Amino acid sequence: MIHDGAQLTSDVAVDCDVAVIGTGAGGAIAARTLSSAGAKVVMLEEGGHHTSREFDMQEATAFPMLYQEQGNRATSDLAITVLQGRSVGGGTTVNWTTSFRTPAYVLEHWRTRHGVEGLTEEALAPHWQAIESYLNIQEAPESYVNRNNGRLWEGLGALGWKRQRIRRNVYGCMNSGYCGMGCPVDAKQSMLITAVPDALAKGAELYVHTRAQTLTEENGRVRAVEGVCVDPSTWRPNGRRVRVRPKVCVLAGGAINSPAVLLRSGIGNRSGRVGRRTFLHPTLAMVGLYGEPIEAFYGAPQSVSSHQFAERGDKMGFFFETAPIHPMLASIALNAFGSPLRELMAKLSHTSAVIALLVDGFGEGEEGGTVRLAPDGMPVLDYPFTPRMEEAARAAQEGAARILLAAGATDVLSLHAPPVRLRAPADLPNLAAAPFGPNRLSVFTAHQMGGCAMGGDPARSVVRSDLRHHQIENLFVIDGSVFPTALGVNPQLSIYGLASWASPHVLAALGRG
Amino acid sequence: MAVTRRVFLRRALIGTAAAAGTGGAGLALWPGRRLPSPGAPLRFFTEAEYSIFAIVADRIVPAVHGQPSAADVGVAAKADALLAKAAPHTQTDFKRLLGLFDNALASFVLDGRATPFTRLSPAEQDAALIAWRDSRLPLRRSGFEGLQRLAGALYYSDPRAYPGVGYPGPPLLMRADGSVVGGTPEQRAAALAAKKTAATVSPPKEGR
Ligand SMILES: Cc1cc2nc3c(=O)[nH]c(=O)nc-3n(C[C@H](O)[C@H](O)[C@H](O)COP(=O)(O)OP(=O)(O)OC[C@H]3O[C@@H](n4cnc5c(N)ncnc54)[C@H](O)[C@@H]3O)c2cc1C
Ligand code: SF4
Repeated sequence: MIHDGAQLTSDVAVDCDVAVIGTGAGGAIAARTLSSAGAKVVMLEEGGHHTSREFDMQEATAFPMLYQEQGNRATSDLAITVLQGRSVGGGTTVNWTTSFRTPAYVLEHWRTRHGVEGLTEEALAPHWQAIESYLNIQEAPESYVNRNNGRLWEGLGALGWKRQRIRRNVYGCMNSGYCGMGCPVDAKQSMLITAVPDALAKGAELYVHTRAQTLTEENGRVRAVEGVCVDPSTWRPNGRRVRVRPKVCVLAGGAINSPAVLLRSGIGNRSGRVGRRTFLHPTLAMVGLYGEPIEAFYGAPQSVSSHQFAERGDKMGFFFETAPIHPMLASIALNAFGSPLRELMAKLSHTSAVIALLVDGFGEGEEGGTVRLAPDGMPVLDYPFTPRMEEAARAAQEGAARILLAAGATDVLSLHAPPVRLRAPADLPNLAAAPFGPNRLSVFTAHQMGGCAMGGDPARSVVRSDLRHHQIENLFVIDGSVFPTALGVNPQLSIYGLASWASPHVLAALGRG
Repeated sequence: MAVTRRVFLRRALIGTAAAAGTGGAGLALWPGRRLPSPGAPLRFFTEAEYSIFAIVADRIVPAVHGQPSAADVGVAAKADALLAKAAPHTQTDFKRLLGLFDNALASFVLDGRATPFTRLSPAEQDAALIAWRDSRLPLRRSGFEGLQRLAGALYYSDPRAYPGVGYPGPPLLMRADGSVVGGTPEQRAAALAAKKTAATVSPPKEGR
């Protein structure tokens, strides 16, 4: 059953087997698995329960309703725009459906460098398979490759770089292009229409507009989750409280948010590692202009990717994909104002984009970002730009520019303020000469990872390999925050697989293993 | 460390603003230009802040012939509604930014220009925006980005801005339950009348 914290007329106290904080990729799969096994599950979700009926494919509707901070989340210096979900389904309600298994080299790095045990391809494969069939994850047919992705495909081909068709979690996709605003026809197999309803059908309770403010600890165990109800018209607490007393607590608020719950609670941070090692796949983009229409606002957002440069030895790797181009996000990305902005925006329908996602977290001593709390208790993320990142960003922008030129773009623009314009490979030195640094160019992240890193060493990590907290016996963290590095691929399937893999450990902690 | 440096600069700039607020310097107290009050009561901005943001938005997305202006789509009123729901720390930062942006003493110290932003000519306002954008001080670049993004996002997410960018808007789709979404009101009515789907492709039913 779904309860709306915005509508509660009195405070609530419930006892249960498992409290699950957050209903995104990790929380929903955990809640489904645990309630199927007979556990009494109570889920808390800060966002609202919004369904396809409300999804009208308008950015002005979707971002305030379905994204953290109404779509305005960013790093503390505003240098990186942070796109992150906040509603039932979390990021999966607004994500672009790209589905990859965790690469073997990443699992190997975690094993050798972070002391992660048991997370092998063999151990995860049955979980991935089960999720792939549950969410109908299949390769996008060629008819779903829109011109935006088609240009990437052609450019990669012309350069002889690796390219592949993407797998997507959709069923009956109408190829609209609006995954990022909530699928209006329930074709995307997000947690909103799959695992969350499944958990509810098995008797789970869900409190929406209810933020887990703090966890209280007693004798090394979580005793209660203190939930605060939020009024969505002001996004302020409305005075109602939901207190959940679970046998086991699953924290699944996602990166940035899960560490914030622990920091606010002042518990579980003996190592000082909570909120550290937050990684983002910092994402740069180049846009191409063409004489003919591209209409990158229509069609499956992502159907092509290239991992040609995902592993670059000691250097930071990166991978290429596309981004759908709708007016609002385009205006944010294009770092222009005045008539230059008007002129660039006028070419929207003739524009394609190649995005390059930097694979952060693999360098020696590379720590990524740090989550801390603002005076109001909300999380703030500091993410420093490093020389290692600059090297990769420059290589990635150059690669993206080469792809677009090879794909026939007449003009290629960077997202610098003001943009660097290239018309031929001979212009690449102009790009190399452009400044790099915070607020010099637009950088995005849609993939937040880390902050409650798993690992073998309690002094260097927050949770163990089985996702149980190092010190707090009945606390598990099951979301993207446990990754000790970035993934080098889009995260959702890694998180689903991990949640499915970890659920038996939660059951064991309940004494039902 | 980059972070410490930023904190330092932030202190330095806010220090300027604070000195401006309390000091006897006449410059600091030179009020900016005010626009007529918006129709609806403000939830976040003061009237002065509303004017600053509206004037900035008008330079970020300047009026051009045949397209709605930032004022036409009510960018500053939209910003007021959005920021009213922002976290308290974000609200504080944004108010500081606007105050600094229009502060005559701060601009005198930083740019040698002793006039509030809102009292400059459009060309001078653009030059001031460029000075923030290209500044060596990260805080000013970040301030520029904050203003540019908010104004741009609120303008271009308004359907009245779509024709000017050649965006036809969301396609007409029919859901499994027969309801329709996207398209124009006329298209939706026609589709409902005809009860046939206008999906861009017919959905394949493979798998499962
Ligand atoms: C625009 C966009 C596009 C993306 N595209 C892709 C893609 O194509 N492929 C891919 O693999 N990944 C994609 N991602 C990323 C992917 O969706 C996320 O990595 C994934 O959803 C993260 O899962 P999670 O369980 O860590 O957290 P989330 O899915 O973010 O869920 C966390 C939930 O917890 C809630 N919450 C947080 N704190 C609290 C609290 N204190 N109390 C109560 N509730 C709380 C949040 O509101 C949220 O709903 C995309 C993301 C975005 C934003
Ligand atoms: S592209 Fe497909 S999955 Fe995405 S919103 Fe459109 S119909 Fe839904």
